[in-house]
Amino acid sequence: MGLYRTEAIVLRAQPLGEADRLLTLLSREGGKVRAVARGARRARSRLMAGTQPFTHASLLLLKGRELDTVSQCEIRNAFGGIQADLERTAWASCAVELVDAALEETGGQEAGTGPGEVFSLLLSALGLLSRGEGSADAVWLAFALRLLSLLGYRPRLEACAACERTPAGDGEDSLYFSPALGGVLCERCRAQDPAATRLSRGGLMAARQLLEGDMARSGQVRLGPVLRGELEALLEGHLARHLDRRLRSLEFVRAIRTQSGGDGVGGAGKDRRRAQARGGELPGGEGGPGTVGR
Amino acid sequence: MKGDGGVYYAEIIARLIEELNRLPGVGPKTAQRLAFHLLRRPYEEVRRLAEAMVKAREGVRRCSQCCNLTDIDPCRICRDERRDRSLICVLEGPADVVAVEKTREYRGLYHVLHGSLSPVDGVGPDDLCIKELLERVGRGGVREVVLATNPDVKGEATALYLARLLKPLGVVATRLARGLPVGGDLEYADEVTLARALEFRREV
Repeated sequence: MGLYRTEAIVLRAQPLGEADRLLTLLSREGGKVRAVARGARRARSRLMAGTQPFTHASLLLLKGRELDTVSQCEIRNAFGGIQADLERTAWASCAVELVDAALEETGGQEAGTGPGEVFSLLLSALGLLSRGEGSADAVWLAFALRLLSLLGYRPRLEACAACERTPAGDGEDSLYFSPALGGVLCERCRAQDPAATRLSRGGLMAARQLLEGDMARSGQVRLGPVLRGELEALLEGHLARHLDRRLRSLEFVRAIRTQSGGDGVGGAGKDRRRAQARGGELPGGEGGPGTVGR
Repeated sequence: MKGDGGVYYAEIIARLIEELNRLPGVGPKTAQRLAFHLLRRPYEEVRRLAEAMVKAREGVRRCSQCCNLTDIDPCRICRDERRDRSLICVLEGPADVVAVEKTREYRGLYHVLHGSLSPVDGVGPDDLCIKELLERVGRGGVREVVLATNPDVKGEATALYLARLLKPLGVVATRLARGLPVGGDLEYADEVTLARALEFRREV
């Protein structure tokens, strides 16, 4: 009794005691679950590989009073491509950390969302990152915007959040995004929120494409350094508004961007070549003034 | 156990239990057992234990070269003239040095990072002994750096990060191989490890 089967993605694995691992799982059916994988840090443990972050696995769990225990674990997809690349590891960390943080606020349940919607979205993002399809930055932006939308924080991109006029109309080149009002502002309403960040027409189009287009093709959305900066600022403001804590993985992204760009120790040129070889967008090697996690 | 300790124990015993409870892997029950064990032992034995702990804490620091824990600087391994100075093995912690030394296969030097990059836990490059490693390699004379961080997400990220910094310095960066454990059983090997073992198979 008490044994149950579930399909889950490992969001987080923390060391516990001598050789155990404390897992934070996102199950397909039941939102967030915390479980202990006993002995998972021992070299020959059968649970070792399947309890790594980002792993999609079928698990047999034993219901416990406080924490469930992992009895068996069968890997569905280890997403090995993520671990093989530093940027993709960083973005995948952002994705799992965001899910962990966002679902915390709803008590671990996917409030207001259809069953398994968050799960499917995360699975699809990890798959894209692992297969290296398109730009990892764009996959992250699409993932985060969609996750926030699923949880009821969809940014308003159709009409000005203050005056309700359609910003998609002609001639308006300068738009702004206001996290406080949860959407874009037209030039005239800009004064409503001095903290609003600039969003160009191209940025608005890209944001819509990331939010509404086919998730499987989100990595193909073209983002130059400028658009990427705008969208990251938009997302950052939106996240800061709706999340209790800052995502630590975003600081990490910033740290490795600075490293591969400015100080000349790393190889921005190499990254650029690699990105081109993958057919993706240029990562804008200068690292930018840190639009992420400021 | 913590807050209400005074009710059940003399205050100094409660304090001892509380301190033991802080040790990794020691829960309240184990802390209590250890405390009562210590109180049963001869005074001299307990004094030796306390002294050993304080002395170790006072006398141990990080080696100025490899960042491993040592009582003399540079440490014994860094001083050893017989070791290959062109080879550096990068490890996450001092315990890993012991593990590699036990193989008796490795004759190069070490570098201890004291952790691994963990985006989710907020552990970034500045929290590890990475600057020391780069300075060391930058001084020249190093041919190869073996990135022997753990084969998990954190260790992989750390190795990738280091490889990126080391390559422009003109050294070869290598990674430990992955595969099946000695005395293991194919049937019980996990899919990822087995796939790696196939990938890196070699001619017999």
